[in-house]
Amino acid sequence: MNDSKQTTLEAEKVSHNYGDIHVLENLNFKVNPGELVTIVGPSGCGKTTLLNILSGHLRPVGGKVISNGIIRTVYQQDGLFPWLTVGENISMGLRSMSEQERQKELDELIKLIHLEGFKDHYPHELSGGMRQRAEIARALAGESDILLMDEPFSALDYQTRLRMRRELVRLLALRQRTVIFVTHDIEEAAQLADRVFVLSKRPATISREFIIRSPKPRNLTDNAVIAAMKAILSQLGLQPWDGNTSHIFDENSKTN
Amino acid sequence: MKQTPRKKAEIVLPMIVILIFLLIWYSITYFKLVPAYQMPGIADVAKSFKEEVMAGRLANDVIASMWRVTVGFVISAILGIPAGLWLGQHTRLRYALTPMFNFFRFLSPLAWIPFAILWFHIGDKPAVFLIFMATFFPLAMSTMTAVASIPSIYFRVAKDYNYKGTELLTKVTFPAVLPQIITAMRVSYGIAWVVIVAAEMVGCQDGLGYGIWDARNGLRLDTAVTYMVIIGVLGMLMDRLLSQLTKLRNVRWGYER
Repeated sequence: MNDSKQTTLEAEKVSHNYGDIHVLENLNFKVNPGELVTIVGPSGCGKTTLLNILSGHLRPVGGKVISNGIIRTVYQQDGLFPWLTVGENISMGLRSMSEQERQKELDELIKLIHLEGFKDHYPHELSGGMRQRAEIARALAGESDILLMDEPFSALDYQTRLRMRRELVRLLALRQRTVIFVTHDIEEAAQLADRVFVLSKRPATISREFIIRSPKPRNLTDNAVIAAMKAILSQLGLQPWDGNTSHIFDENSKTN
Repeated sequence: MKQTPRKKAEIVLPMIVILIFLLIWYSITYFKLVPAYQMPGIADVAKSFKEEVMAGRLANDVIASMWRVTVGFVISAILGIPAGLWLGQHTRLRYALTPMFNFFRFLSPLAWIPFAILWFHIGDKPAVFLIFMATFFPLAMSTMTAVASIPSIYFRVAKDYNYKGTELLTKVTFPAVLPQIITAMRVSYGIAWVVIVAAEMVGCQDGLGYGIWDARNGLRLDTAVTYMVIIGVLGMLMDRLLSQLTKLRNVRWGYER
């Protein structure tokens, strides 16, 4: 199935522009198997463009993406097919299995995301949080290797969002995946990431990159999370750097 | 508990309106506000209705009209919906054909009557042809527009999960536009029902439209009104039937925005 060691996702000198607008400028990175990388950056800096390039929906103008494994994207909202039930949506990635295997996997996934009893409901009959959980289950189903998450919780209310972060950590512990998680939510990045890429304004480059070593799940008020938030905020120019390089996370600052 | 009073109102209120309407009609004829030869009374119409039923003419005309509409409409749907699905996916073809389709859509189908008779002579065929001309273009156009406006996110998801070719068409494109296709079918069925009456006034020897024409020739306005009532009621019933399609669980999402 998803043998994490085989999974690769790598950007090599990736640049992109829409006509005269340079969006991405020489991005280089490699995502390790089973790692969760969050990408934060000012709005409109090209985060979604980067995801579209990584998923293969968009060809970069310069450079290339090297990937190995099945890539699936989790969208902000409305990614589920409204004409299919929750069960049918999740089964989309299980079509190659035998009927028996499929039922088993489907039931397991439904249980995993705590949507028992909602298998035959349609997406419009569910709350936003339930829909996103179903969408994550769909992306996890079967043999996916890499998840690209495009602000998957940003359409939810604050408390649901907090709960969903915990859910995601729990699910990924059970079903390991390589994840790129794009968000504008700094808390979310600090709570979920193994590694954070902070993008600069357009044309976006990785202006800073650091590792958060603290184990997960992390509480919003953990020192490691707060320290990471400080680093991100100061890098985005939203808060002055207080000079306190607490040793909660390793830094390897990069300016490409 | 909330449902019941609303359901009641949905039945009772229209009944009251119909009763008032009948009362006005009755008063007009009773007080002879309009001469009898210009406006038949309710009793006359009821009598004529009975006559037509007894003679078997009414049943025959209903079947004839329904048959023509159904055949024309089914041919339209079989050709128009796939054509729309196909055109919707090809931008250049869509650009190329939209003005032409619009031209025919706005051309009253009745304008084709001379050709219908010339090409198909008399009987069912010219009427079926007119129904087809009336419904093909709106159906194809609506399907095409619906396909062209499917949110791109669905196709991205489809690509992630390896939907291609026929599977993409039947599992993604078609269900994504099905609610709009059902709406388009209701609208074009309405057009078909309006057109059949006019189509049958020429080149037919039976049908509801012919019935009205025949009544006019015999100066039997009571019979004409009988036919009008039947046409209206049947149209309503058919729309009710088609509207049941909107209750299918996998299209509900399209109507709950």
